[in-house]
Amino acid sequence: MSDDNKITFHAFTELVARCAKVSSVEADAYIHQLAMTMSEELETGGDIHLYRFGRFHTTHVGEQAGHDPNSDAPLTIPEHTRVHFRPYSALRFAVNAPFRQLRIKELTPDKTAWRMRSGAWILLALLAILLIVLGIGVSRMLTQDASVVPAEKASAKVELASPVYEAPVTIAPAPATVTTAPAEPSPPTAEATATIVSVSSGDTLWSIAAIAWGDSYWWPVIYAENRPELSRRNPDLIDIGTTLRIPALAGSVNSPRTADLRLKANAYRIVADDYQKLDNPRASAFAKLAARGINKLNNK
Amino acid sequence: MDQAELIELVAKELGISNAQSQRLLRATLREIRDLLRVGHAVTLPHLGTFDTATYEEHRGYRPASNDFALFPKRRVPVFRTGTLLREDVYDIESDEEGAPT
Repeated sequence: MSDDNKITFHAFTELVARCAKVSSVEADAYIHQLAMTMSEELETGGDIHLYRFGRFHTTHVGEQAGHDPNSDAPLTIPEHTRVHFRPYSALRFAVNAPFRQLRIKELTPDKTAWRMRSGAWILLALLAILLIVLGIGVSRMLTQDASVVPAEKASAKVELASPVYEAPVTIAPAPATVTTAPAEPSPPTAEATATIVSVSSGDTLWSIAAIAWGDSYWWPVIYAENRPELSRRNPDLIDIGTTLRIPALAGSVNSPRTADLRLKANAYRIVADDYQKLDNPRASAFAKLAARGINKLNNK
Repeated sequence: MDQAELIELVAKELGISNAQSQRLLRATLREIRDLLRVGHAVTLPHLGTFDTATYEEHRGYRPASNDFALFPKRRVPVFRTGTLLREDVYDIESDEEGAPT
C-alpha cells in the first residue's frame, strides 16, 4: 500500500471513457456521481453489492476506551460506524493471478489423505481382483496336477527319489495261469497266503504296494518275490497281464517283524543290483537303504 | 442495495438512460479490476482507494484440518475508506487542516 503505484483520477477517467465509449467528461461526471451515491448509501448504513466485484458494508462500533498514541493520554473513542469492503472471488482471483499456482502446504503431512483419493481405492480393488484371479488359477492348476500325476507321486518322499514304474503298453501275452503255490522259497516268510494280482494298464509296483499294504515303499518286496517271472529284470517296467504274487507279511508295514524287515532289506538289495546292471543312477540310493536296513537288523 | 438499484439511482441523478448507466458502471468496475490486476491503486473521490496488499508466505491456522499450515504468498484487493466518507460515516469532525481529531 504505497503511493507510488497510484494512477491519477484523470488517467482513470480516460480509461473508463475509452472502455465505455463515452467522452471523458461524461465518465468523470458519472464516477463522481457514483461515488457520491455510494457514500450516501453507506452513510445510511446500507450494503452495496456489486456483481462479480465486491460488497461494501458497514459495522457499528460502540464507544470504547483508548489512548492517544502520541501523548499516551487516555481518551474515549466515540461510537462510530466502520466501512468494510469484501472482494468477491472474481476480483480476488484476478488480483491473485501471479500466485495462482501456489498451494497451501501442510506442516504435518496427513497420512490418511489417500483414503479421500478414489484412485487409491480403485488400485486396491484391482489388486484384490488380480489376487483372486491368481488364486483361482493356482488352485485350478493344483487340481489339474492332482488329476494327472498319480497320488503317490505327490506324497513321495524326496529321500527315495520315487521312480515312476509305468507299465509299457505292450500286447499282453496270454493270461498267466494263476499259480497259487509260489515255488520261490528265498524270502523266509510265510507266503502261504500270498495274494495274486494281475497287472492292468496304468498299474505300477508302487501303486500295487500301496493298495496291498498301504505303504508304497515296500514295492521292492513285490519285485523281489516275482523277479524270476519278470523277464525284463527291470524294476521300472512290468508288462500288462502279468500276475504278481504279493507275499503276506508276518507283521504289518506299520509294525513289521524282523522277518519282514529282512525281506525288505533283501528286496532293496535285489532292486539295487538290477539297477546297477541297468546303469540306473538310483542304484546307489537303493543300495544305501538296503545297507541301512541290514545294519538295523544286525544291531537288534 | 444491489447493482440494479445503484444503476437506477445514478441514472436518475445524472439524467441518463439505465443502459448507459449500466455500461458506465461496468466499465468502471472493469477498469478498477484491470488496474488492481497489474498492481495499481485507484482512488474514487468521496469514497476511498482500491489497492492491493501482498501477503508473504506465512503460517496460519486452518479450521478445515484443525491444524496449522503454511499459506503461500498471495495478493488480495483491499479498500481504504476515504477521509470524507470516514468523517461522514464516523460522524467525527475534522479541524482546519483536514486531519480527523
